[in-house]
Amino acid sequence: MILSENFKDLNTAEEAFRRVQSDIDAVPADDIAAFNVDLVSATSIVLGVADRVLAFRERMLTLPEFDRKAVDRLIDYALAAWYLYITNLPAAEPADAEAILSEMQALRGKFLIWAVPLVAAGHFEQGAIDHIKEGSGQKDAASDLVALVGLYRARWDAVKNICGVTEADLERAAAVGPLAFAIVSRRENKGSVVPTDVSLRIRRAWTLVDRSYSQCRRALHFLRFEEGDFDEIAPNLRRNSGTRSTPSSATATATPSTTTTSSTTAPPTSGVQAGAMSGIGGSASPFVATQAR
Amino acid sequence: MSASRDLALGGVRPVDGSGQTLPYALPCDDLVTHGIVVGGTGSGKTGLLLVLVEEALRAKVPVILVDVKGDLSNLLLTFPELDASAFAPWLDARGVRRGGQSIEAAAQDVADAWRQKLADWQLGAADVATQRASIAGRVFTPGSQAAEPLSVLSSLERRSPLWDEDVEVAREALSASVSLLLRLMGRDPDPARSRDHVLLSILAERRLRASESADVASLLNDVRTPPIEMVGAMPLAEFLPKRDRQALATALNTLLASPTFESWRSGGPVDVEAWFAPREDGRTSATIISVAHLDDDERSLVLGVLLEQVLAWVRTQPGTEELRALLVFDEVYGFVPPHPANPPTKRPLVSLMKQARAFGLGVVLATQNPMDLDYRALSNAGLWCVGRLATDADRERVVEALADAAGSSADAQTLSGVLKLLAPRWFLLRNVHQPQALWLLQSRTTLCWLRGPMTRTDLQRLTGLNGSRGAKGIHDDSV
Repeated sequence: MILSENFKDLNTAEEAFRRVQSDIDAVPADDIAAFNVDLVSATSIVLGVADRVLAFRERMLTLPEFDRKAVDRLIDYALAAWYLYITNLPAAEPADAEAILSEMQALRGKFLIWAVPLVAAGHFEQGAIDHIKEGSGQKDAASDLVALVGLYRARWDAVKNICGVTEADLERAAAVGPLAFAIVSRRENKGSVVPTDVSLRIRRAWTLVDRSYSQCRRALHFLRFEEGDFDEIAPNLRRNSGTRSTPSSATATATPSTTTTSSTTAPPTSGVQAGAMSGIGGSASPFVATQAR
Repeated sequence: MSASRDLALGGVRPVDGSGQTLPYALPCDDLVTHGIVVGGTGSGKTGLLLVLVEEALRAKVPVILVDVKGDLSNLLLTFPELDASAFAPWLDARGVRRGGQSIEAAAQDVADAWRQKLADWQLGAADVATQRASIAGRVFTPGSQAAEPLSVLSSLERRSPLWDEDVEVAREALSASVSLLLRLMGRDPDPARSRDHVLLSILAERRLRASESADVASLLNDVRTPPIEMVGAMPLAEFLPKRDRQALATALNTLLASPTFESWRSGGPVDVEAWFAPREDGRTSATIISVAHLDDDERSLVLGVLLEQVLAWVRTQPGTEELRALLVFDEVYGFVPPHPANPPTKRPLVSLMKQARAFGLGVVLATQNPMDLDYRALSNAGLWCVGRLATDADRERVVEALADAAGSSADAQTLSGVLKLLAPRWFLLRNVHQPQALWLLQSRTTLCWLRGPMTRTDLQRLTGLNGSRGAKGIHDDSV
């Protein structure tokens, strides 16, 4: 399963944070890792591939100097970092909260639509999609979007050229999902207070995620040397950091549009005005109703 | 509809099928790198081919259509009025009555449905009328008088200028004709092992090089009284003893005397130059070679002759990057099979796929069995339209070739998954000239009416031959 079930539930994430809070607070200031990733996306990837990584747990533990915590607490560390980040976004509700929620819903819809053929093609698992769709309400929808970002990120190299979800969509969703989640959470818990040392704590939590995940990757590199697939099992969290540094047009917009960003892969319509002939061909679906898979 | 050189094939969506269908136009000249249309029964291959042909003709590109199954002749079923009375004569009267409906009512239903299908693509009666007026359509039925007969042995009777310019090509074309001749006589037509073939080829070449006719009667005389003494390094008497030559001569004479042979000799010659030439009246030629009435061997040999002539025409053309003419071959199963099978059609088809692009001839092959296509033909195609395929083996074959030809970043599993789920008239589209990886293409409704396979009687009515001029709305063109 690509998506961890724990990922959807804020309470579960909070419980995970409580379990590893002492570990987080024990990270020495000098050991704090560089915070050069989009934390939501990075933790989404970790949680997305955690089950695949954990499948090698017993073999990892046989390796000398391998820290058991790296694998046993990987999910908790990731959930805790995500929880800290999500629940400690700026206190005041942004003026464009409703626009953000609308955009979140539109992006969620787009990601789910594209997930259908990707499930049929074997890139995503139906169970993961069904699980995402289970919830209802704005908060679940925001969680869904965060989860979907993780899902797409985990298989991005394989699906980026065959679906209409773009890098810009992912960037925007990675920003909008947590924002929407925070808006809804804030409305539900109006008395919450942002701790003053939260920034440092988030960085400590991230340090644990980074350290554990990196150790698992190193172990997998050794264990899967012959197969050469360690990077597929546990992808590099910073692989796209270079492209992410450039904000997309959508993220640069002060007031987000309520519609999703357009695809960068426009159809080849040479000689014909697409707008003038939109909706051609009736309403026939390209696919037969029964999916064989 | 515009007169541009973009071929409006239909609409596209992303590979997941989501969103709105947007119009798709294929740049005409992209077809010089040929196309492959693959799809199972009912996937809409023939419809897509006819859309492609209609669009090529609109772009003033002449087309030869090889009609193995009998339904490419539907190209000429155009009813500008789109009214029921035009459709009525072409309905299956017995079937309609069995369904408890009157012909008039059924025709009205068909007309209404077709009008709606055209409207879905923002097409109407005016577009049909424009198309009809711009096409000069002909249907040839080699070996039959159903439509226009075609003298497929004409290369024996008419000396080709290629004998002065490119002897190898002329020899290949002659070989195909001799094979057909031997097949009609019931003798071994294989050029690689038939001594009859070798002797007749030598005799025919000798005559053609001397600017004489190598018609059957002349060849019969030469077999009876050979003008040569040696075949290769062997005396003729050893290579093919007198008794065997007598048997060959008798067979030639039987053929000559046979009334059925007349249909193979009558009609116009295989004149690719004329079929592809611009017309003075401004219309564009659509030449349909219908071989649905022939058996498998005859088809292979007749089409071998035809394709050799097309190849010979190509060799006479100056180089170009523009699409000059189009050859469309539906149901190519068995005609360009993988090694080691080698029917007479394979060599010219593979040669056309490899060489014709430089001379502006596009070749579009369609099949429901991609397993049966020679790898060289597959790998030379720049345009791929792949409809739904039912078996894993077919999907695997196509996906493998697609990945090789396209350098697509989509993985095999994804492509296979899409191909399994495609609805009729939807195709996975890959054009190597357009960088975007893959699209789903929905072919537009054809301007002609897709009635289905045409029988010989239908073709007689369609072309208005044998005294029964075509019914309302049917082409009766001749070059």
